[in-house]
Amino acid sequence: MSENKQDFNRRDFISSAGGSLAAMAAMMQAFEARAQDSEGKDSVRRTDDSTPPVKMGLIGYGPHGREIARNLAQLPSAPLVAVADHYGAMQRRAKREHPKAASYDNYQDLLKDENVEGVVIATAPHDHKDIVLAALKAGKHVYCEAPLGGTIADAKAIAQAAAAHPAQNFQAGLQYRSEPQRHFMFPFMRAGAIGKAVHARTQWHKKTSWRFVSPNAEREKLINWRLNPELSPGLAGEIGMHQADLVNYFLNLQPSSVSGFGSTIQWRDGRKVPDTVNLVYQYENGFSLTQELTLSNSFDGEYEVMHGTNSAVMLRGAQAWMYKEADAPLIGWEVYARKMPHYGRPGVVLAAGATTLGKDGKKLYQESTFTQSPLFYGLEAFAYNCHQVKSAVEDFLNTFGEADAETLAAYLADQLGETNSLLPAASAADGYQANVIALKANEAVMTGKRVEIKPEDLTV
Amino acid sequence: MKKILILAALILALPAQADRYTAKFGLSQLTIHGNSSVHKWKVETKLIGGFLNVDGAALGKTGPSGATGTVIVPVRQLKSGKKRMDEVMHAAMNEPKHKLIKFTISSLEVNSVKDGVSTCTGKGSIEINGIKKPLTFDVSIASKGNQLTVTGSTPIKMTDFGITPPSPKLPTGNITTDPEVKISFDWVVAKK
Repeated sequence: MSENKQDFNRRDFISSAGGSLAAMAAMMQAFEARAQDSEGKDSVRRTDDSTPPVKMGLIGYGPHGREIARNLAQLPSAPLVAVADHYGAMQRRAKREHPKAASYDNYQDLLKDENVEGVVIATAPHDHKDIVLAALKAGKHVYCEAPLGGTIADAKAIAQAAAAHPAQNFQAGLQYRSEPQRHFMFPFMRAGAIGKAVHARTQWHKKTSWRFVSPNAEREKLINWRLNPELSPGLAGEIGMHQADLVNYFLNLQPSSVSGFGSTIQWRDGRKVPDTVNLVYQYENGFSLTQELTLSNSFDGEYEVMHGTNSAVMLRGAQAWMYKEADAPLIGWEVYARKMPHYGRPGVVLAAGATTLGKDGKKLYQESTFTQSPLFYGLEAFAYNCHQVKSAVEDFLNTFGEADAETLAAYLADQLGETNSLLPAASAADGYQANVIALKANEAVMTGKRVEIKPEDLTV
Repeated sequence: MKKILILAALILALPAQADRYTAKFGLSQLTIHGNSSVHKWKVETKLIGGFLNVDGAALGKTGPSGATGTVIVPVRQLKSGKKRMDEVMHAAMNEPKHKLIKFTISSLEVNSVKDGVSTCTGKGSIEINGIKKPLTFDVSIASKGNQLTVTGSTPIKMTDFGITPPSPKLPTGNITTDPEVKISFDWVVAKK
């Protein structure tokens, strides 16, 4: 007997008839899809150079806006044609770094630019609503960073406006929803491969102050909105939201309440927004999610782990591992899957592309090929989906003439949604739900009270 | 009196006025069925446009109906449910250059009528990838209120239209696609 009791062999597989066929089917489909999708592509992208481009405008050229611009520069399907920032230094920097892009000192002028088809909004959350509503009114496709709004009312107004403009693609910046490794895991998790979901835990550890400096005092106040308790969604909203959304999405659950507390330990600079936060989400079915978030220590970085009655699955960056319980039924495919020691135990590697077949039918074990950031994949999905929506709407109008928003929405849901024609991405409703949950979590931290999350709170 | 009789005779001698039925969104569906070395496949769309000019009464009796019409299908809206397969198929059909599949109906003869459904033989043409070929096809037309549902199918060969059957590469080898496909459709048109 191997020392690794979790390391199943072929005999174990044959002797067990209790595997989860649903999970196996889901996993094999995912492997097959990966093999087909990989054909003829740049292996880090899901689109190729023949993907029709959608011209992008960027609103906000702060640190995150610049990160977005760097990612767009690697996507031939999303050329950056315009940048707007109201701060002169940022506008000049954008001109210098993207000389081919038109430069604007306000977003309204960028929205008037007919060359711009889609906009990526990278301003502070409390500025999103006015910009999103104006962008939709101007006929642009919209990628709005998450959280969508600084308040629930703002987030709702954004989600409702997106729904009223079905002919324009709207994407909430919940980038994990678009990241291939996590998307690869989705059918596996939804098929119940971990058994009955028991508990999940996410961690985000980083040593960073969240404080920006500027020679201009007024500017410094503006750019440090994360440290302003009136404007900041806190660590729960800025960071925890993405991980909580992933858990809720994978397990198809919504929390019914959240408790939390926070403290400022490292960055005692007068801030009132905690630098360390702990959250506990409770669910009606007994499931729970805990989140640890800190700006004070970087040990062990970030990951998400979901525990079920049969196994635990850990996601870390572009990789994932499954740790089975000794009494869990065999699924089947894991017998042949690669095992890798991690956290002192061999975990079954669940990497997109990990079982790509070679020409001789032999499996070529490899790391996930999708090595770009979640932001990159979010933007890739946005550009691709803009093109899909644009072409579907054009064809509809050329075929049948004008249509009301309801008819167009039904048509697009059927023509694109039901046919898997879109790359995975968070919708406005997804963004709204994650936004509400995150703001409730931040409220729990700031008040020290348990905050209820009612089903009607999550309805746009 | 003589003039009135001549005028009446002329009016009776004129063909009946055809009504214009235009494509209605929501109920139409076109499917292309094919086969390959790995599995059967299909692509489909609900986006079928165009019009049919026909006298509704002429569909109720056997003989030439005098119908004419055009059916258009945007190629890029033909979907399989697999993104990569859609890309391969649209490229094979030269979609960027030839965006539509176009059927032209130049005549439609009613062969029989039963329970409000006319069984017809049509003549016309089909244009795919910019190549037009004559076509004879069988359809049934069901009438309900101001709406007609035209149902039928026709086999075609991709190579007749300059389309090389896609042969995508997989790590396990190339897939070969049968050039014979069948186009089947339910096309719903309505009088405005």
